[in-house]
Amino acid sequence: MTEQDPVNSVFPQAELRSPSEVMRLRRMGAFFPTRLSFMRILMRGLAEQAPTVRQTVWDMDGSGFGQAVLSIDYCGHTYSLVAFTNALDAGSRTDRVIAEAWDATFVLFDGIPSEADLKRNRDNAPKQEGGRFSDRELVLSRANKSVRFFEHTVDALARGVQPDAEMVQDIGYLMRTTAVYGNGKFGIADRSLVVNRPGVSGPFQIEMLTVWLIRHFSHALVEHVARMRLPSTAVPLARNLKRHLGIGNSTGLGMAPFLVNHPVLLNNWMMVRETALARARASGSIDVERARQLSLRVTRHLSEWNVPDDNQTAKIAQLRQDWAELNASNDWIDADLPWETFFQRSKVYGLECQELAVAFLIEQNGTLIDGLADCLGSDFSPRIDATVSCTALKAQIEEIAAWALEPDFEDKMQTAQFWYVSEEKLEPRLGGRFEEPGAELESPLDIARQIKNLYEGLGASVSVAEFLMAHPEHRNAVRRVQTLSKFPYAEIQDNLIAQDCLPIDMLRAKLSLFGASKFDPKSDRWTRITLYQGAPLADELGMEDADDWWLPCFVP
Amino acid sequence: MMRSQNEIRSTCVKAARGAGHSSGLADDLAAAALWLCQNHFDGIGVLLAELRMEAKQANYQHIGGILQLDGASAGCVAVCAVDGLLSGMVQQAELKSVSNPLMVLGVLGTASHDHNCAIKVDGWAEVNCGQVVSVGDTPPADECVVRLAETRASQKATAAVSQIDIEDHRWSVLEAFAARTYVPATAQSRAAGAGAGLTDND
Repeated sequence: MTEQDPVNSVFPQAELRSPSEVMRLRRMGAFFPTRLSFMRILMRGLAEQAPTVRQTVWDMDGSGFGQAVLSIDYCGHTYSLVAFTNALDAGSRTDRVIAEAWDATFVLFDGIPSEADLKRNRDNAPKQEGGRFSDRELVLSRANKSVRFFEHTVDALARGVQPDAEMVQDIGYLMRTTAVYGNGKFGIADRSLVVNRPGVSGPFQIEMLTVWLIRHFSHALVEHVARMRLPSTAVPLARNLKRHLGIGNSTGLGMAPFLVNHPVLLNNWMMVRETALARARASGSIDVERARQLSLRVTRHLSEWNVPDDNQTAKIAQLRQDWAELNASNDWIDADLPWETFFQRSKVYGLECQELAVAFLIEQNGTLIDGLADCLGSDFSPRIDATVSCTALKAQIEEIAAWALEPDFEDKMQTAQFWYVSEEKLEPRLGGRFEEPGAELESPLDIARQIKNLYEGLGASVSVAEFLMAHPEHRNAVRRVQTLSKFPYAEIQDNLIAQDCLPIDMLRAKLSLFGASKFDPKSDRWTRITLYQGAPLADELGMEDADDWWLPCFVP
Repeated sequence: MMRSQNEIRSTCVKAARGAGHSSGLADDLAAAALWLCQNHFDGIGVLLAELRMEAKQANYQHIGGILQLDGASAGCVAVCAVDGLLSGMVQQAELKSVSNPLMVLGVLGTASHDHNCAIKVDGWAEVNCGQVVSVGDTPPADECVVRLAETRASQKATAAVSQIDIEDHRWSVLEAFAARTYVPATAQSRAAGAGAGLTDND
């Protein structure tokens, strides 16, 4: 054991796992949510304050079409979810980015909207990318109903009975978002507006607040429609079912470029995660009963994780077996360093089991690690240090970016794909370089190739300043390498244009950082997930166990 | 129309790439344009003037601590000048044929912010840690000399939270440059996008 200090720690910690071990696509594609995931951080903050969600506007017809405003006072600011719902033809209901209409559209408004604000948003929110917004709008989102389940739930509640528990368990949401836009998109407020606000200053906190309020709205909407259908017999959703109903989400390639385009943020998220693991491993303290209960919860959660995708199904089956074997003996709890012992034992199993063990350790050491949430953000802009020599830069690449030098980019397999932005709603896509047009317009996500080209082009005797005057095309690669030298987890250490690059791995990594679970891949480039399943409801924020919803299980 | 700062920066990056600049340089030019906008200059107009020039690298030579740069747009030569000065390679940079001097100011402003330093253009302007110290009424007509200045203690400029008004016709031109990086949709690309191949009426 060593004591390191990557984030000004005063806690003992084990040696961090190296970036070369962690920052690989296959491992990132096996990540699980942790207590440092963005949703968990938000909910801990909300639970501390236990604010009330108020329905300040509820102007819905009997079919649930109309407008609503849900407001919440949190850490000195009022935020309002403004919701618009409308009838939608089945033929128009698609989760694709290229969709033009949705069952529901939302903005998170900064404050309480006036009638004029409502009208402005009513005119623009349903258009989504086609609308224009102001810096009073913090987040823009849209969602589609899970149509059959929504109608089933309305029908059941109206008749005075609860929806089918098996459907609740299997589907897990009434609505799924198809986009959640923040940080200045389409004229909404820049992140700088909220970056210093308590409670929402961390990465994606304002977006996660929006999704949690959308979940609350979806519960209220289904109860409203049931009540309007048969007022005399309608009943509200049972609390246990409501708690299991999160918000679905379809996530595609748009998430993947974010990880590449924000290297310092990626570093911080991973550094925090790895530091949390290192602190947990060094801890000699364990609540044996809590560990036993959580282990059982994991087993049950895995049994409830069933998806149609054959590949993921096979991974889940292996994971169930690995987890059972890893937990077959509990003698590790008597070790001087029980978590380290458990962690070391997990290493012989598959990546899914290894990363589940990581999240398991983190979950049970909150007092050591929850403060790390303050280290997730960054306002640092990558920059070039022109003072170094090309010789030094070359040595630096060999030391920290050898992974970029490994692929043979003359081999077509290593350049088989290219990332690009489609003119269709500017959707990020991935194409086949040798089968599809547009490779000459590819987005610069080919980091490994850029670094290797830089390495091969570096002269020996001049400064980086002079080198870049002669070779400005290497400017991005120089910046990436120099950023990596300061932020060791800043790069995914794989070739992102290789034939075997699977974007789903990047999506799962990022979604796990958000706090999603029960990944349901629909191809190697998009997945469905559920957000906030098992999370506290608005009237449960003050409960003692409000933070205890990691890997939730259905409660019949 | 009012535009968010993230919207401005991301569109400027794409526009610069669309005009033929490498991604690394496009980031620098976009940062410079946004810095100009934040400091009440016509950053988009300045960037568009830059993008209308051929994207090519600067000619350079350094003699006796002086870096001479020409043959490229103002942004390109200014980026080289900053690298040369901050590396200690030279003490001053002479920029020739600078037809767009405000872009030079944008690049220097951004660099002074990122590197916590002061930089000046002799006889015209000085920036310190991302803030404008002085800007004369008459920018250099063709040539300018750039050098590091004495850095003063300064609270770093924080980005204004308010949005920035960009004239629609300028924005349209900027978007047209950005659109040069977009790939036309095909049935094949559409079929492989997120959400494809599944009914959403479940």
